[in-house]
Amino acid sequence: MLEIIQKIIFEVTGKSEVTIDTDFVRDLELNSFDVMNIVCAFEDYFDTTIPTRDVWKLHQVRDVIEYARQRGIEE
Amino acid sequence: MAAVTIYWYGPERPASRRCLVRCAALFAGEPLAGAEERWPVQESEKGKPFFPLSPETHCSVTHSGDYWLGAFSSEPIGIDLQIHKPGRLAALSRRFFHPEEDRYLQAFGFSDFYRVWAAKESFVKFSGEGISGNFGRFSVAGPQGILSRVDGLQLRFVPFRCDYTLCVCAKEISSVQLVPGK
Repeated sequence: MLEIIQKIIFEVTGKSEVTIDTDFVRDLELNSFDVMNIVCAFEDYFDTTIPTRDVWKLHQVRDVIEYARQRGIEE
Repeated sequence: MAAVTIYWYGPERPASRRCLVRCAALFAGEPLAGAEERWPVQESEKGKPFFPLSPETHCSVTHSGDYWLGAFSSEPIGIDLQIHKPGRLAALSRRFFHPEEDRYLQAFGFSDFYRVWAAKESFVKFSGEGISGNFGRFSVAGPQGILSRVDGLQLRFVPFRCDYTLCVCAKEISSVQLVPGK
């Protein structure tokens, strides 16, 4: 899952320094437009939908991985 | 009426919190020295910064591309800057915008996408609510184009750099001044 998230973030933002501890805003300096683009790419890749209210709870890469695990989203 | 001063920094700038504090001092006409002690910053639950020692000073911050901007006024305000860069514009519009906005953008080939985006972000930053839940529930566009007022709030686009869209939201905007940060 980490590798897929890294790939999506790189494709959308060009940022490559991504680890499980990376914070989207603090470390990558992404703004809302970037985050929403990543969400769309993630949803396309996994053929799923992330409710908007949930998007803003996902601050770090580890949050996305845990969210995917809880929702049964798998590679 | 909100007289808005927008301070901007380019890529060579201090950290966001430091920018904000320096701008607060500039807005108050104070020296920069000691600004961090005089202007402690807190954030609301949704992340909107405010100055607990100066509740009459309102601010809103945005960053995109190479720029960081902080808007200041004696009235509540929201601001958003967005660089024009490739993205899944049609998917974002369909997924996150109000159906009225999506219809408008589809009709005109998404040429106004960034104006809709910046207008919506400035609107939710005004309230401090952020994008968390309300983003798709209101429309800043009608069949004829982008609205200048939404729910009693004024939206004003401010020329900045080419390839960027900048929008300010307040109850009533009397003036907008762009000033380089120090």
